[in-house]
Amino acid sequence: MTTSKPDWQWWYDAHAARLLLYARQWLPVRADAEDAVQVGFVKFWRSRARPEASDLPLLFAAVRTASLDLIKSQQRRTNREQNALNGGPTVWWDADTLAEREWTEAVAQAIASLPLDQREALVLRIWGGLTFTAIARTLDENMNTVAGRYRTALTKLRHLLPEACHDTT
Amino acid sequence: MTPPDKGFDDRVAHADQAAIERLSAQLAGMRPIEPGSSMWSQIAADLATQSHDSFQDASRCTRAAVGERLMWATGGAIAASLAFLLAGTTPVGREQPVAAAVHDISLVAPGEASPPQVREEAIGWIDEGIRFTNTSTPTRVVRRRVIERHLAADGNAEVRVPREDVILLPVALR
Repeated sequence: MTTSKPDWQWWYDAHAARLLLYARQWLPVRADAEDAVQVGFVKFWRSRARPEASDLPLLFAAVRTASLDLIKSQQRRTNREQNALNGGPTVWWDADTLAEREWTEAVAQAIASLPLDQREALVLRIWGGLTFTAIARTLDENMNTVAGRYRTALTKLRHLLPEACHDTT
Repeated sequence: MTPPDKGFDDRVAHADQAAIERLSAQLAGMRPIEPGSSMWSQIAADLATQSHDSFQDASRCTRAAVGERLMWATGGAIAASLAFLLAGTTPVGREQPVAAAVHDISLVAPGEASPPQVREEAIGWIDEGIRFTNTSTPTRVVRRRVIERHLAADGNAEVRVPREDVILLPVALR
């Protein structure tokens, strides 16, 4: 195996999954979310030929913009969502066992019931791995605001998820 | 009426905080699913065709780029020829080399070239482990990433196409 990969591939390998999860906050259908990540990633890479780690919020912001743009094509989205509903539950996280799969579905359902701004803060902090400062930069918001949303989201999740699941690891 | 027990409130708040921290740690342990191979291929194709920095040896002239230049040159030559014909004049001076040059280049247009040689350069194998996808059967997912190098017979042009093969191996449940 050779290790000579273009720079963008390192970024892709490191962030693609979390970007996809982030895009799915607006685009629950996987194909739509992948489209948004693709557009956002390419746009980001063209604007930053030599990105640094501190540019990560811009990458998330590019995917966010691409997701919102995609939502505008309302009819296409409606059709795809209808197809997804007919095709069964949407999987957001890997699950190696049936118990893990039940847990991920419960988490997905609970997160989907949160307001969008809280969901965004939660996903960017936990799975995006961003600091509150970076989240504030991504969303163009105050840092205390996003920190508050994150804490509120976690408190709500705690009550939404089955108590028995909290200690399941 | 008894005054509120401040110590009790503090203990409740502390317990709540600990439970929230446990929950956030558990959530952080969940792995977001990887995107499909088509997304990687699309990004690779987009960056390969339009960015000069996408590949390390991008200074080489690719066949796609040659084809695009030929298309513009041919279009320009046709437009110029039409302009001269409609004006009832013959091309003189600087215009003649343009027509001659386009003719020479069009001899090696991509459509007329010999079939290219194809080579594959493997750039990585990724074993993503066993997945429960939307189907009930667990599968082991292995990805193989390669760059296809299509080299023209004359050796002057090369097209590189990224490709990702996803191999799904069914795993028996016991």
